[in-house]
Amino acid sequence: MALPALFSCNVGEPFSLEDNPDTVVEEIPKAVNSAEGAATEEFLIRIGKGEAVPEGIEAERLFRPVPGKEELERKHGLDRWYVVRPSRGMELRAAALAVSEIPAVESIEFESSLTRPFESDHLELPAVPFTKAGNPVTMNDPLLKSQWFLYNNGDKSVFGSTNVAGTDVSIRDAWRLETGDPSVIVAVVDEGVKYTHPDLKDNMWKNSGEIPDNGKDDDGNGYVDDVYGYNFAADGAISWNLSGDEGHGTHVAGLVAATNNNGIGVSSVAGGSGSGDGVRIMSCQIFSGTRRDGVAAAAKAIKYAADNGASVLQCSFGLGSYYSDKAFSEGLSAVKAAFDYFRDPANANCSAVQGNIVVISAGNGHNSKAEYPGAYRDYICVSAVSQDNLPAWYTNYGSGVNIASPGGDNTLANGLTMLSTVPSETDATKSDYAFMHGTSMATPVVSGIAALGLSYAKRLNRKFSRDEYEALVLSSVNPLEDMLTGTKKGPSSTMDLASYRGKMGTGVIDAWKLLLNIEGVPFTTVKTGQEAVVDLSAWFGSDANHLTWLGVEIPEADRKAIGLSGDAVLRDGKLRLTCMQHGCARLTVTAIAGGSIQGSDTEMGGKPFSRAVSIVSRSNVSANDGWL
Amino acid sequence: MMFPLFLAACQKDEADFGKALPGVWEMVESEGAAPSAGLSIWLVFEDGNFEIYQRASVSERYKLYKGTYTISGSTLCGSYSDGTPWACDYRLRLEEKMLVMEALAGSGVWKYRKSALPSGLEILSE
Repeated sequence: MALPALFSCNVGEPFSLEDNPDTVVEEIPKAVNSAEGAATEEFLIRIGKGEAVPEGIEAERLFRPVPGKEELERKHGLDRWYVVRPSRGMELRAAALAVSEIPAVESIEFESSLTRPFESDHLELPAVPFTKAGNPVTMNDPLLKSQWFLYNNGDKSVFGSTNVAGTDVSIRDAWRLETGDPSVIVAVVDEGVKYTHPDLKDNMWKNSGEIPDNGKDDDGNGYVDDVYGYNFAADGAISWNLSGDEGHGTHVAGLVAATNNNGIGVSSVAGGSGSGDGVRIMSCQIFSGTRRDGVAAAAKAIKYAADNGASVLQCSFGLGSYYSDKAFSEGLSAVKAAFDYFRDPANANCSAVQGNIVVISAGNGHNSKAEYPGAYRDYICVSAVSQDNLPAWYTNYGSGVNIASPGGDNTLANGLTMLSTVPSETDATKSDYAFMHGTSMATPVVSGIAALGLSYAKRLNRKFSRDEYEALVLSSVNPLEDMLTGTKKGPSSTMDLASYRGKMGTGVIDAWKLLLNIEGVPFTTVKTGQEAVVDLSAWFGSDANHLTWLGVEIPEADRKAIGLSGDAVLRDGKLRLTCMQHGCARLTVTAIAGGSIQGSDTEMGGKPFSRAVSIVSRSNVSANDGWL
Repeated sequence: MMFPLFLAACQKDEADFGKALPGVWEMVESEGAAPSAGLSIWLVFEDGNFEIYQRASVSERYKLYKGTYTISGSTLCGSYSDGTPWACDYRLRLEEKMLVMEALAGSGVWKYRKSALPSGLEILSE
């Protein structure tokens, strides 16, 4: 069916709603969202299964197909999405209205805006000399002393009067076991990453199938010169220093994998040991200068990340205004399809986990719910804490949040937030390093730790399902709940900390605990013939007594092996059971990461996660589960 | 003639555990049954110090416990390096080269075979 009047490749007749005021376009049939505030002058359409794009519409595939992945692309409907560009002069809504009349078109989606939840602090680096107590760490990066989130010895002269020792992610202990694996790739979906940065260049992913700057798609993946990733916003080379760029992508990348132990700059979670062994950063650019970028860029970037080897998707951005999983799925269905494709076990890019991991910021609106897409129940959604070990004043919390992580707080004394790499071109002082704060910064700390964990799992030849691995991440936390009493001064109001209880996720991420969890949690012993009370904090994190439990599953063979009398009961972070027989059993216990209800289509909530708990029942037990 | 036989019978029952215990022992029976699949316990005794390597599943690493022990006749007792006492004291006996440890409190009986620690034992980090 042709619509030459509207969509011919020649210039069509201009159509203006102002000139045609009687045209009714308030409701566009088949549109899943509103054109009001659309980020671009294009829109997306999904055609029906088996249908072809009608002639006369200037449309191109949203997702570039990859040879060998056609079946997986069809499974997630990626082959049915197109970007439509109305002819010059054609108004967006009128064009969409015309397209909605085409039977082959199943749905229409206007481009929601992408938002970046961060603020730059542009602080001078403190001229604080090393103290003997202040630098007991293994990396020689001179600015590590200003990265309290990696190691915090409580020095108040450096990090302010509210600084609390130990409010870091225990990375020094984790580095004893693992510093990174170059085969683990983290896709930074953000502004472009400055891949020539002195403290990033050695940890950039490099597409070995591409010859740089020859203007050709050498590897046939649909993208030209995509050596370090690609710029999906501008459909071209990665950029980071256009007017409007803030260095956000480079800062995020540095938190994940700035090169460690190279004698310059900063350290990072998974930046290696100094031997070129950090995890790798893939730049998937969706923000560019002052462009108002929409979901099409994000959707393409996410698919690219899956198709080119990323196993962690690092997303510090928000999308539109949605308040339920169903609304997000339906209103942002192209990007949702891309996320599903990325997480599909068939797309697993790391041998240690069957499926890839999505980590997304909760947002900086100091609202009592996370923003989407982070809030969607499948993704790991990150809230922010500060160096006082309390929620950051700006962080979203509540429904949709799964875990907390250091994000910095610019209002605390000294105001030192999160130090990382930036493009010198975007920094006021032309420095290669700068402070920023936000859930945007908290999120790459989690992404980096997830990547560090994958590196360790590979080293140990451990293999997990995606859900198992996500559960390990969510249960590798330090306590926060018991500190949520009293008040904390924010920039414009006082925070009632009790209102954050049960709303910051499972706790504050800890890298050391994740590596121990990957090794495995040792069994616990219970005395045969009497009720045993098993503390689940070893499996579910230090705040286990504050979690909401969904249940415990025991295979029948295991139930018989320990002679389980009645049911195992979960309460207050403890498992109560009575075993009447000597033996071993493996139970699966499930809790909610974040809040008291599971996220569903109609209600925002937390993410269920499960851990396997090994129990040995015997006639005598020691207090520390030692065998004798 | 009977007297020497009587003496020989006492020596057989009361082994010198100060000499017989040191070494590596692998658990082969736990409270009357073969260990559940995956349950693996190794005991190492030497000069009053012990190590225990224990795990419940082949997919897990071993947890290592250390501490000290004392032997008084056939009674073995000990405590862990974190100060936690053992679950109980044990009466030791040897049965056809197997070390039998019987709980002095309660009813548990465990049997161990003299062995050598496997190389490359994967141990949980601390």
